[in-house]
Amino acid sequence: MRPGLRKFVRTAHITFTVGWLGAVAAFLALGIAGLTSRDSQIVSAAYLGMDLITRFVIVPLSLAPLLLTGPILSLGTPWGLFSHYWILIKLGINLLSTFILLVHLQPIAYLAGVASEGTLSHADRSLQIQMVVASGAGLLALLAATGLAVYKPRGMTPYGWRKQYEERKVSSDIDIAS
Amino acid sequence: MSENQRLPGRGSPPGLPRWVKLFVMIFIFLVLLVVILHLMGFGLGGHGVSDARGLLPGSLVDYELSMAQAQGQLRT
Repeated sequence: MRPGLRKFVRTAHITFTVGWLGAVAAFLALGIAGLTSRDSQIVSAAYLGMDLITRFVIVPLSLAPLLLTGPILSLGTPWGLFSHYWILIKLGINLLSTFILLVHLQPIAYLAGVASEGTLSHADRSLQIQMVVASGAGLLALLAATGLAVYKPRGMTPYGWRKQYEERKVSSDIDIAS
Repeated sequence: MSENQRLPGRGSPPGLPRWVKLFVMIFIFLVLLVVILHLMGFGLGGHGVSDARGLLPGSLVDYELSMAQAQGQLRT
């Protein structure tokens, strides 16, 4: 991949992933407001806001790095997608976070509907708590993924090890032949 | 690639790094926690909402239509 294109994709990837982190933090704040506030207008606004943020911000920001910029960056550079543990674990975190997000789309829409009607009941309490717990856990997972991307801890997978060994063998064979 | 790590030689691949083991342990702990919470009654969604809402974001018009639809279903 050309350096200019690589820099552009990397910028997009950082923007998407950090934006996802920020949007989940906003979601968590709204979730806490919806859970703790006694003002019905604040509760209603919080759940409607959570539904909007999820559909129009969090879902696109989670899918873009997972399906687009992440694979392009890892496969288009010497890092690879399966060669280093930190990339593999980051991929796992993103996959799991996106899955949990998609599973929660329906309950979020349900809460927004109920809250906008003003019919939120005590039976919905566990779902309200679940929103706070899930977004809090998601925030921690995304922070861990960001840390992995910055620190890039050592450790090659057996696949990456073999691949690098074969590449070195081929280059040394060429050196000997020339 | 600018990382300073042991390069592959002729030997066998290196074992699992300590930090990876830590991540795996935390992951297993979290999965167990989710399973236990699930068994205690903190399920993933449900609540009798039978409409399968779209997973991907549409336009704002679609959003308002789906909200109106959801509210209509809740009234009945």
